Amino acid sequence: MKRTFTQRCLAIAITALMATASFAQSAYFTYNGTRLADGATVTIEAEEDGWGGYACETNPSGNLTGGLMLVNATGSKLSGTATLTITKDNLKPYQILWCMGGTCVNVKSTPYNKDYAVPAKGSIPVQYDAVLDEDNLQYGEMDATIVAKVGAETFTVKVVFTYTDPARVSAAAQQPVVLEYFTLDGKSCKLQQPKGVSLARFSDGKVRKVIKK
Amino acid sequence: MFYTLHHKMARPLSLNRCFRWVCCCITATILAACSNISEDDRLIYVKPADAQRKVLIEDFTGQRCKNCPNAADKIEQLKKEYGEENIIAVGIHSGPLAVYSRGKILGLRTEEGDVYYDHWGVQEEPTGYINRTGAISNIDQWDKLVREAIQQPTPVTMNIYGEYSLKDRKIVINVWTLTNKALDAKLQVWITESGITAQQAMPDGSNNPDYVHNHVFRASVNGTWGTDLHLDEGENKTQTFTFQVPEEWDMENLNVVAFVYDSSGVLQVCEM
Repeated sequence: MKRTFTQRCLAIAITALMATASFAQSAYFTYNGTRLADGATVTIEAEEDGWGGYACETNPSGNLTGGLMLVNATGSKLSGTATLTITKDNLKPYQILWCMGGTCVNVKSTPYNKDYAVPAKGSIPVQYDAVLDEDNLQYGEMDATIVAKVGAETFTVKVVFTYTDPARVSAAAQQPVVLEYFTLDGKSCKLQQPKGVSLARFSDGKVRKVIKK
Repeated sequence: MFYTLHHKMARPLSLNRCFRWVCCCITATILAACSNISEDDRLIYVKPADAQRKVLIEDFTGQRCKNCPNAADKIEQLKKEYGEENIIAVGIHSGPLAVYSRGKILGLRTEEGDVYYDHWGVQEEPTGYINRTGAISNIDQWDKLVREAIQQPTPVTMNIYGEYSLKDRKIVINVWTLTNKALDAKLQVWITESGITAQQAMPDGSNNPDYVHNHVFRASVNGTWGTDLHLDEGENKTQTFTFQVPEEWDMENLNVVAFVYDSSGVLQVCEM
């Protein structure tokens, strides 16, 4: 039996609605109030932690909406399990603390699962910290992924904790960097160094001849 | 003989004298009918009634534990609901989220607290042990667990009293226990301190240097796991302990918590 025009429109509308619903996420991560794309990376440098040492913390400040948050975009409470997996560690923190979901744990190995609940239209802090060993401070980086699962949906954020050698930062800051390249006839090449001899304008204000073989 | 008896009986007796003779006879009969009862058997034993059970909350906590202030709030709510004297909480700073004193940071962690943390297999904080029954639980289960525990009758009645000597920094503690059934248990006595200002990590990520900690476990008086307590049905016992208070504690903010426990859990708890 042929469909009427009304029936066809209704079918198209229902299909469109279902498609829209499948793209609408029930939750997402934010960092310092900015919504993150799924799988985005947040890099956090170690700071003094108020306990006499250094730590990297996803939620360090006394600001309820600051730091790394999981936001519930629906009108119902969301419950699920979050999984922390450390993928790289040459930071070697003294402790890895994770307080998301209401209880705090000293994470000794990953993957580590924690249950959580987010109120309707609300948010909860991720509260993931790496406390550095004051007696054996080590410059380095620790990479982790946090996957929050709700039903069949997953939401992922990558967290990179770093503790950078201040001397390296200072030395790098003192080294002049190239701001722009020019051909010998004065044509700007922006930051693309041409082959052969060219001129480079440095951050210390000097222009020098440079060679690229 | 018969004549003599009859003659004697024929002589009229006064009523008063007759009455006296009858009373004497009755009394003599009664006294003669009583058994000889030893002094020890003269009291009648009445089995003590079950007592109102109080609830002990062992709150495993730490100063670096951001959500632990929520447990302190829950304890205060339960104390208001059931009465201060019926809910006895002890904050045991323990495990990797607890802090030892270092530099300017006053730490509340103790080695003894860590023994309890390890023994009960605590994994996360804040978590608690309600009357040492069931499992270590999250604070969202405490309402239900406390309600169930406080409704349980208990065979044990306790009372605690003592003296604080500020000059000698000594506490003399007397714990009186009565049971209505044979008891093979342990008596544990702890010192706690309230009103301690020390830094605490807060749920919003900040560190509060002026946080006031209450019911903090400081030390056990009679060993990490207490001392033996054996009582027969109806028996009562008073045990006395002396504790020397370290200089850095505030004696005026100290409390003494005593509880009786066995393999089934905490049978009774009291606080001074």
